[in-house]
Amino acid sequence: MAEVGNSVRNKGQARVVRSRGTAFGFALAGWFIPGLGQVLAGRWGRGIVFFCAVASLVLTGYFQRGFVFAHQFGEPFGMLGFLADASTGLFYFVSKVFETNGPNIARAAGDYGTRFIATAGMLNLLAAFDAYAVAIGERD
Amino acid sequence: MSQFIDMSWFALIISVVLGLLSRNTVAGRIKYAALSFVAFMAVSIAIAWLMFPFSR
Repeated sequence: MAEVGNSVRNKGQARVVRSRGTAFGFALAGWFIPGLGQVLAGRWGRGIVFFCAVASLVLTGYFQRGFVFAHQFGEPFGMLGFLADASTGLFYFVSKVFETNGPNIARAAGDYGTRFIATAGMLNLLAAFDAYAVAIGERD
Repeated sequence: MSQFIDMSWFALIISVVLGLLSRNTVAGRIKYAALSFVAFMAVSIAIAWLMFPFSR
């Protein structure tokens, strides 16, 4: 790694500016598989950290039997919960694989699990925005 | 998992990601993540103590 100005880059790694369409594609890929947007933009380390962070949070939430919101646009909190959970991308669609016994929010752990899953979604959204910013050259 | 371990795990992961997003140098990221983790834990324990008299 080399210090370039106030930033960190791998040796020989130049800042590549891509079109907004490509950057949007990276962000979308990053939403579906956490960290993939950074990997496509050439920031492997950051992508792996994002993947591990989102996976750790969401899997902790599933193993604690947190509640996974289905799409329900009639009720505001349900809609927000769905948007947060769906932001975990691929992990949202495999929730049934990990939560075979369904949620249990009667216990405190299950309630915490619900927050873990929602927070994982928010982190993944931040990661997707970061991938977009890296791709258009706004961030290193 | 105990609730304390839950809280610590949550704080650790969030701190690492915030450090990664907020700073551009490796040293800056580690410092930010460490400070963020300590702040998470300190504020959580302080709030827990403040809430203790009302817990029963």
